[in-house]
Amino acid sequence: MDAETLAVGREPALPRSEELAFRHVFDMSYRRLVVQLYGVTGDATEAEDLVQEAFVKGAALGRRFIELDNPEAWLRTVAINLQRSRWRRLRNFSRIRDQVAPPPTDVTTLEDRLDVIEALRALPEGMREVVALHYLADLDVATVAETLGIPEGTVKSRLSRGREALAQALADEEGAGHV
Amino acid sequence: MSDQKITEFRERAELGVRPMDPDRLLERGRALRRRRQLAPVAALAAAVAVGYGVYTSIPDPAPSQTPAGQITIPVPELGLRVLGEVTRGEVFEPGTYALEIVGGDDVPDAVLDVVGEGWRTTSSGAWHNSTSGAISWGIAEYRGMDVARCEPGGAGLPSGLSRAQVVDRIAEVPGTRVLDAPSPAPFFSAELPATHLQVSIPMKIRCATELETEPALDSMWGGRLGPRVTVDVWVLEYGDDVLLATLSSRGNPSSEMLDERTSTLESLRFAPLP
Repeated sequence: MDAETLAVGREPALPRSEELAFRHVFDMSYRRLVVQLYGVTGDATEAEDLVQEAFVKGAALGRRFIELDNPEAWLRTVAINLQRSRWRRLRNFSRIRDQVAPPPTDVTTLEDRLDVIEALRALPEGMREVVALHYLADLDVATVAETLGIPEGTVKSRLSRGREALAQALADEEGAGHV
Repeated sequence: MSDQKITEFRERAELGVRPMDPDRLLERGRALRRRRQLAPVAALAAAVAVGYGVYTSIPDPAPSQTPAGQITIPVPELGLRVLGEVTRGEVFEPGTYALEIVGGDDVPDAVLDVVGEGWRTTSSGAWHNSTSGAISWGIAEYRGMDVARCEPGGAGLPSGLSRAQVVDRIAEVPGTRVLDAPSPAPFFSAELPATHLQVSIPMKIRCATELETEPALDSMWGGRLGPRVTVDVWVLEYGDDVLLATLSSRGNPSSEMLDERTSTLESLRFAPLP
């Protein structure tokens, strides 16, 4: 890196093959990740924003992103870390949305099963993360623990209590629906 | 059954997600990479590279590639990686910000709490200007900064040095005055073992466009005694690596600015990235 490069900031585009690989990962994982983060955050728009940010970071890695063993797992962890960062909660999201300006996801469709997301939202944040990753991302206890950076025992206890609370909430919903 | 409901929710919700154009994400990713590569310009130039006088033997960049009026501080190939950058708009208001990581997924992220009044940001750092001086900060990973090649007889910083050895080498850079002797210092909430020292380092300013004369620039950077930069250096042990965190000030920053600088530094924390 020399002074001229720094001053002018030239950066070659990704090679075509890397672009294709990036798009493939996007096609395979984007929807899944948005739903998983939706479960983690309880907010569809926030979930989209986090997943998009994670993909941006992935694109910034260039070839190294494509060479990851499991790009989806990497994206998931990045998105969760973004969500966990305090600055994320404080910042004004509109700026980035304005830059990207994607058509908003049809929240009505995404929230077709509002009972589930409402039940998830009712869980404490730590429990919701564990439950969402276990059920929506199909991660086992060890992987959830690794993703969240917490002990497996904590995952197990949160999962146990979360499962109970979720079952109760959904049963209540069902019961209420039959009245 | 809740399992069945969750599965059903997942399947239907995935169908409800409307994918955006990945090209937009690719474009943003490229822009992010560009910013990361540009990050060393200000943060390192002011806080590290210039501070150690490394640039003095570096040729001027081609003027045709420098926007008119821009003061260019050439940055040589230092072998340093900037760990943090702030690119959050032109005004860096008090609040909490992420320091994005340059270099991928194997280094820690950090969170920056900015206190007091807002700082102005560039693409590569935060600046707090006043008539009495300016402060910049940067966090860099030490990767064998080679000072010796630019300063004959000077202290080279080859890789593989311990924290104490790095501290010694910094203090021995020719022209450097040690203002505060090395001492143990907490950093990142005391999560990393750290040694702090404060040094005053001679520097040279060049303007690529003739819009500013060198004496004028020198004056901005320290007055008739010659431009110097005061650099607080924290040498941090991070696993097997040594990190350098630096804060520098030029001119005569007010005590309020120095206090704010200290508060800002003390608010840095490590947070894990994947």
